[in-house]
Amino acid sequence: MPHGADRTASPNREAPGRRAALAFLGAAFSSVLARRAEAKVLPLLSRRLVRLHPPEAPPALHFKTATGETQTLADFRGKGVVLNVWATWCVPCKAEMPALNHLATIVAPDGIVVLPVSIDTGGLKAVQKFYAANHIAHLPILLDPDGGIARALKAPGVPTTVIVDRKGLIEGRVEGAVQWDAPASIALLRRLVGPAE
Amino acid sequence: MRGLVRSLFSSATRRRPATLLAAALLAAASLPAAARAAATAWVGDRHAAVRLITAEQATGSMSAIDAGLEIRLAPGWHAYWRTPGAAGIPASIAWAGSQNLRSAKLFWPAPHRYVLDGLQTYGYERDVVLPIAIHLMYPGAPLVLHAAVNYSACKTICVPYHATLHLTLPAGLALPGPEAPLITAARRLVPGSLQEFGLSVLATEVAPAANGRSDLILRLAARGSRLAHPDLFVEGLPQGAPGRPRFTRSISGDVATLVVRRVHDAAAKLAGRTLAFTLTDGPGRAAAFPAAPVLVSAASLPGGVALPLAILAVALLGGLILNVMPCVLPVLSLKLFALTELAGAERRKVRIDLLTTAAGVLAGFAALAGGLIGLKAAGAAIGWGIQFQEPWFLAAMTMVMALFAANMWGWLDISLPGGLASRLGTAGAGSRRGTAFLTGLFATLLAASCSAPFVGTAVGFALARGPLQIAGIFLAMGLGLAAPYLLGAAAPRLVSLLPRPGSWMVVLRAVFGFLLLGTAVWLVSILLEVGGALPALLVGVIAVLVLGLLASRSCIRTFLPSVRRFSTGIAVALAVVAVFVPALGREFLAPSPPPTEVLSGPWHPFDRVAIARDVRQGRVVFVDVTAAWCLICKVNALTVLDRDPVAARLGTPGIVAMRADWTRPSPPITAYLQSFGRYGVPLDVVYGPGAPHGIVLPDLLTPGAVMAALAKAAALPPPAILGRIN
Repeated sequence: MPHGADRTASPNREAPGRRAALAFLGAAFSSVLARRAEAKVLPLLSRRLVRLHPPEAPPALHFKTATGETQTLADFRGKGVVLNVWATWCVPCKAEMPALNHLATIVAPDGIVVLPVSIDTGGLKAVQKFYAANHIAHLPILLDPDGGIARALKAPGVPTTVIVDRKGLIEGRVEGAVQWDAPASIALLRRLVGPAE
Repeated sequence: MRGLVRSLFSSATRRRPATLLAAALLAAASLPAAARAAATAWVGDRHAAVRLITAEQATGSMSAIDAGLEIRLAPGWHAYWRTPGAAGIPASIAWAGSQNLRSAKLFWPAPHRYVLDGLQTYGYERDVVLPIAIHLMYPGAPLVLHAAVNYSACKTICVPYHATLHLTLPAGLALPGPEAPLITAARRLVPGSLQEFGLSVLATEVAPAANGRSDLILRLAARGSRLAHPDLFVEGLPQGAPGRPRFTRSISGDVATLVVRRVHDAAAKLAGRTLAFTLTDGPGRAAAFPAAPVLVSAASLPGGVALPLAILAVALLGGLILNVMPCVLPVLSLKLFALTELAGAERRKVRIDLLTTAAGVLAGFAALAGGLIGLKAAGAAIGWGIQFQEPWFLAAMTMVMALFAANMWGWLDISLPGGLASRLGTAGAGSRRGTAFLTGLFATLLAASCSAPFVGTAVGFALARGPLQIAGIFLAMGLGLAAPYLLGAAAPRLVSLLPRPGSWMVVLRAVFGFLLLGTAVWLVSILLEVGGALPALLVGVIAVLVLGLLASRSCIRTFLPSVRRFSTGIAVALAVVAVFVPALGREFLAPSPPPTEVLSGPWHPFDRVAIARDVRQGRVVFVDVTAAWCLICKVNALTVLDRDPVAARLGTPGIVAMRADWTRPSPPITAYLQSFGRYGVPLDVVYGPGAPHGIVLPDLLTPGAVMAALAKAAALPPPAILGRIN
C-alpha cells in the first residue's frame, strides 16, 4: 500500500448525526435488498477510494490488446484513465464489471477511458467468453496473463483499480468492487481526473 | 501460470507459532523428527494458507491413508467449493513428483452459501479440511507427497494462491497423528446419501416460468427427519449460480418442496439433463444425489393472479356435466323425486325450493374450496376428492345415504334430519328447505369423487393457484352443477312438465331408496380399502342397525311417542358413533399397514423412476392412476383397460403397465399427478421411445384413444411429440 495515503472525506457535508442515520438506513435498505432480491449493491467510489497525496507517477507497465498490440498508459496521455486489474474467476471483479461497462459509456464524452486489464491465465478466450456471457460491450479487451501489471502496481489482489488524471499521475487507488456508474462515483471520478482542456 | 500470478501478490510463507510450538512439544517428547510427518507447515499469507495433513504418522502396512488439505482463512475470507458459484477457483492439487502414490481422491465437505457483492458463491469460511483418500503403490514403503495446490480466496478482493507442499510419511507403525481428528471431523461433513438423511426423492421437476425463466422443483419425502433450514446446491447447469431455494413443507412435515428459480435456463433446456444435487440442513447434515428433472407444466406451481374467462367457462361446463356423472346421480335423483312432488305446487314455492338446492350446491363447493385453501395454506398435499381418503368422511356419508334411503322408504320423516338441519341454521323456514339445501350440499361432496371431462382441467388450474382463483373456479363449477335448478327457478313452468304425483311414486321411492343404499354400500367398500376391515364392518353394522331401528319404529305404530322419540335418539347416536369409529380406528383399532398391493393381470406397482429406465430400454410404459372411490376409473377399467384389445396389448412383452393407487393418501402419487398439473384421478399416461415425456390420455378412455397412444409411443424414431399437458 502506498505511503502517505489517506481516505477521502465523503463528498457530502452533512451533520454527522444525519449522515449516520442515512448510512444506517442505507445499510438496512441495502441489506434488505441483498437478502430479498439479492440485488447487486456495491459501495460508492468514495467508500473504497484511497487518495494519493501528492499524486504519483505510475510505474512502468504494459498490457496487450485483443489483437496483440502492446499498450502503456502513455498511449492515453491527456485523458483520464480508470485502470482496472481484474480476473474472470474473481467474484468482486465480476460484480463490478457491468458498472464499469456502463461507466465507460457515460464518461467517454469527458475524455475518460476505462481500461480493464485481465490477468487471467486463460488469456483472450477466457475474457471473450466472460464479455459475451455478461453482456460487456463497451469495454476493450486488455490482457496481461503473466500479471506484470499487478506486480508493478503492488496490488494485493483483484480487483485493484487506479485512477490516472489528465496529467498522467495516479490520483487514487481502489481495492475491491465499486458501483462505478452511481452518480456520486462519477462526480468524484470527474473531480479526480480534473477538468478537460 | 498461476504460480507467476501468485508471485505478484505479496504472499509470504508464514509459520503459525502454534504449529511451531506443537512441533517443539513433539520433539521434546523425544519422537524422531521424521515421525512428525503428519502435517506440513502452513503455506500462504495472513489472509489464506494451506497445509497437508495425514491421519497417521507412518505408512504402517495399509494400502490406503487418510489425508487432508487444510485451508485456513482470515475472518471474512472465503475459499471455494468444487463448484464455486458465480466465480472462484476451487482447490486443485497436482501430485507430480510424489513417490509410492497410486491415487489421491479429493472429497468436498458440504458447502455454505455466501452472497458476495450480490453474487452467489459456494464455499467455506474460517477453516476447512478437504479429506483426501490416498492409495499407495507399495504398502509398507515410505510415501512422499508433492502437492502443488492452486486455489483462490476472496474478501473484498480476490487472491489466487499457489502453494507447494511436501510431506514424507516414513515406513513404520501407523500411529494416529494429532491431525487425525481433523480429518475424521471433515469426513463427517462430506455429504452422504439421502437414505442416511431419512429422505427420499418423490420427484424432480422443471417447470417453465415467466420471461424464459424456469423453476427446478425437488419434492422430498421425509421419514422421521424434518428439514429445518435446507439449502440446495445444483451442479451441471448450463450457466449461472442459482440462489437459495424456496422451501415449503406439508403440515404433517412428510413432504418437503424446494424450488430453485433459474433465471438463465429455459425449462426445456434443463429437462432430462442429469444434475448433481447437494442438500444441506445445518452442520453435518448433507446429502448428495443425482437427478434428471422431468418437464412439467407451469400449472403445478403458483402462477399469476389473472383468471381467464376461458377457464371459468371450462369450470362451468365441468360442473354442468357433473350433473349426469354416476357419483352424484343417486343424490340428484332424490332431488328429481322431490321436484315431481312439487309439480303442482305454486311457483313461489318451487322457486324457493330450487334456489335452496342451488345454495346447497354452492355451499358444498364453498366448503370444498375453503377446506382445500386451508390445507394448501398449511402446506398439505391437496387434490380433488381427497376427502374420500378420509375414513370419517366415508363413514359420515354412509350414514347420510342410509338415512336418505330410510326417508325414501318412509321410515324416517326427513323433515326431522333433526340435528343436521338445525345445525345448518337453515331449519327455520321449514324442514323442506333444509332437505333441499342438504341435497345440494351432499351431492357436491359426493361429486368430488368424479373427475368429469373439463372438471380435471378446471380443478388442476385452480389448485395450482392462490385462494382467490380456487374460490372463483370452484364457484363457477358450483354454478354449473346448480345450473339445472337455477334454470328451473327462472322458469318454474318447466317443473310442471314433470309427471303428476301418483301411485307410481311409491314404486319409484322404493327404487331410489335402493339406489341410495347402493351408494352407502359403495362408500363402505371404499372404507374397507381406506380404513381397513374393522371400521368398515362397524360402520356397516351400525348403518344396518340404524335402518332396522327406523324400520321397526315406523312399522310398529303402537309405539308410544316417547318410545318413538327414544328410538330416534338411539338411531342418531348410533349414526354419530359410526362417524367416529374410523377416526378411533386409526388409534387403537387394527393399525393395519396398507395391504400389500395385489395387482392382477399385467399390472405392476407404480414406480416413477423405472419409467425413464424402461423407456430408454425401448419399452412402452402405460401408467394408470386410479382410486377405489373413483367411479370414472372403474368405468375406464371395466370398459377399456380390462377388455380386449387394450388388455391383450398391455399383456405383450414390450409393454409395462403400471397402476398407481390413490385410494389412500400417497405423496409420490400426488406429486406425480401434480407434475401433469392434475389434482385428481383418473390419470392415464403412455410413455415410450416415441413419447419420452408421456402422452396424457383423456379422462374417459376409449379403446381407440388408448391403442392410438400406445402405437404412437412405441414409434421409432421418436417424432416430436410433447405430452398433452393439461
